[in-house]
Amino acid sequence: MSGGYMGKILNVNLTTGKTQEEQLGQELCRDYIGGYGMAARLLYDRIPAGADPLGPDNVLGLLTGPLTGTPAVIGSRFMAVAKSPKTTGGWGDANCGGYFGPHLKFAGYDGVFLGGAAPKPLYLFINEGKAQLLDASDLWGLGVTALEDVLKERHGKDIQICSIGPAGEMLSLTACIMNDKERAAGRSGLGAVMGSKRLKAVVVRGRMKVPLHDKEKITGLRKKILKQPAPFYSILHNYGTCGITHDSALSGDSPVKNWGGAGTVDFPSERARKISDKAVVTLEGYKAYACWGCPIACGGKVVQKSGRFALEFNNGVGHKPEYETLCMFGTNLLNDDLASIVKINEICNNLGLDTITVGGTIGYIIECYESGLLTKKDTDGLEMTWGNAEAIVAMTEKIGRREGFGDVLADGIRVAWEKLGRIGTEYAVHIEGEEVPAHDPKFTPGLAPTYLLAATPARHTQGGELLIPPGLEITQGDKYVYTEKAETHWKLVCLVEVCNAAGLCMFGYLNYPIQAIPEQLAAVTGWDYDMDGMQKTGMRIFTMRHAFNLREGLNPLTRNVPGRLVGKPPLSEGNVRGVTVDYKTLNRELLEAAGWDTRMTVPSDESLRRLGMDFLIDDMSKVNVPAAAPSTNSD
Amino acid sequence: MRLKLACGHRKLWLQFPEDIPVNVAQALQSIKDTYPEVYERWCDSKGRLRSSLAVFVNSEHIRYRKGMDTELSDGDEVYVIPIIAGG
Repeated sequence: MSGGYMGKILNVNLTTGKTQEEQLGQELCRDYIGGYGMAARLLYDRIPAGADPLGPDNVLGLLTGPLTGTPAVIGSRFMAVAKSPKTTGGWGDANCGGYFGPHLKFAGYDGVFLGGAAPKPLYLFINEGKAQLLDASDLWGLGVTALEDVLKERHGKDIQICSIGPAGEMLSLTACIMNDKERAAGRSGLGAVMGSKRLKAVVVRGRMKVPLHDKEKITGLRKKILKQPAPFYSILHNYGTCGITHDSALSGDSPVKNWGGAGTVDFPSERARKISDKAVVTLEGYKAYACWGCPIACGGKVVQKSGRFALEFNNGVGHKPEYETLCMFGTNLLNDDLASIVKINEICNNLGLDTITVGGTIGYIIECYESGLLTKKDTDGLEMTWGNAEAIVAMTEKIGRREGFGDVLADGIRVAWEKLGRIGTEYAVHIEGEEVPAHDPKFTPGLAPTYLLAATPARHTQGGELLIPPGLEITQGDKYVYTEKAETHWKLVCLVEVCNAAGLCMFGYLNYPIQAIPEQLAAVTGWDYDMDGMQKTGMRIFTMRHAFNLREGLNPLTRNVPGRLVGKPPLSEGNVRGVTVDYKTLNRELLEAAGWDTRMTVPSDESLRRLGMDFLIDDMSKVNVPAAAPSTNSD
Repeated sequence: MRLKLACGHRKLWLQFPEDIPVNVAQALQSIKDTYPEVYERWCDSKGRLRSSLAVFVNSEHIRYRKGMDTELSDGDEVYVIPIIAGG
């Protein structure tokens, strides 16, 4: 087996309790790298079309990449994957840092696939290559924080844990998968998939070494890469992602007032500063936190022992909120009470909730309330008004526990909108059931096709013009010109596909010359990688995930497009005023460049052959998806 | 003429003669020798603003003025922000 891989994955059938090791093939690893690339290729064959995402036929995967747990910069990531219960049964994935990914490899496996559904709550313990399913009846119902404490007491402090909280147990589509108490694999509703399998946690312990093809070369490369000028190092090192909150609120990048407001008017500088950069890192007891092997250390712990929003766990110590959380519960809800957002972060981490999803959902509810579509009688007596920090905190807790009105909101905006009789459609900002992260396509129009075309909709970590690595030769031009953008966009998307699949953090991708990725892949695996090869591999991974959706009858061109995201109608104030994103032209040119049908998005035989994906040709010829209306330049 | 050039919490004060008009491009170029480490972060080897940055004058994107040709007045704040995805 090539370097970088432990060479095997563990298949677990939770219905029968049987576990089985599976050797990884060289070709699979080379062509799909790891993470969601490898997973999409394998699960395409293993999850039957039409399977219930919350049924036993779905398979939940936790997968690393070949650079996870190696000296590569920054190999801390793993990915959770499954058919998503959130996005009409499309492909689902979520990316996560912390310590679990590297330690899964140290325990002997590149990944774990969990199929079936256990008859009673279980957890999987992988101890130095030996897997056991253990009874979790006594752990069911515990929050993530208490759960990790109990498991560490039981198995020792040298374990790493990936788990769900009560939200996942209750199959809430707002649920995520957590590790190291406060790191989240947040999107796609995968916490609910884990809950549907009655799997409370995966626990790993191990001291195995990840094989390296050329140890001297990769350690030398790491030193060389870290000496390069890193454009975002200081902001991320000093503040983490909260360092951009103020600026993004004013620039038009952040959602303000449920995507309907303008930062300069509705959440001006003096308010944005209260939940940004210095305000966050000067909180009591601030201490930087780094994921495994990371030189940037963008995370941080803070202390909040007293006041209205005192933290409940870890003796009052919690993780500082990051940009997405600060925006979705701050700018998006016109809430400048930082202590409340620190508290919300604790609630979400402990109950296992995705903060983007919950913040977006509460934004929808507040706007319904403010416009008279809901009253206190509907919301359990809570005044869901803009900036009402206490009500927002209380509603977050209710959502995580499916309590009262929280039960209506526990599956996110789309389900809530249905349950409430489809009220406030304009305020329901989601794409195919996925709430939108805190980056506005009106500010970065290249994000529109990222949100609308990728297998997992509404995701800011799937490449495009928001994620431009140093050292890449690209032509950008005016971002508000919508033609001739395909080449650059595909380049950026494909590179991120490889970065994610390799187990790298995108903050390494954003800081160091992009050529470092193929160099590191080559040093670790021993295979030849170059920039052209990365493009092709990235496109193969993108296509594989897309093929999963096509087989399910899902055409991304028929996804709903919230008017507020694309400026229909345009805003009249702020730094993205007057902008209407011509996403149809962007999408059409991208599809043409890829060799995909521009109404059905089915890849041509030739485009599949070019990627060595001939095995899909027959399946793709049978795809039956609704065709989108043709788009023209005048749309 | 006194201008403030800001990026996050870092602020640079620039002084220009009163009688010579100064635009955004010139203000950015003016720090090439005095603050080379900042200049390199903002501009590429050809002096073009890096694509990962956006520029605002008094909280307004320069797109709504005259872009890099936007003329500046005494006391204006030129704000440079990185475009970056947050986690």
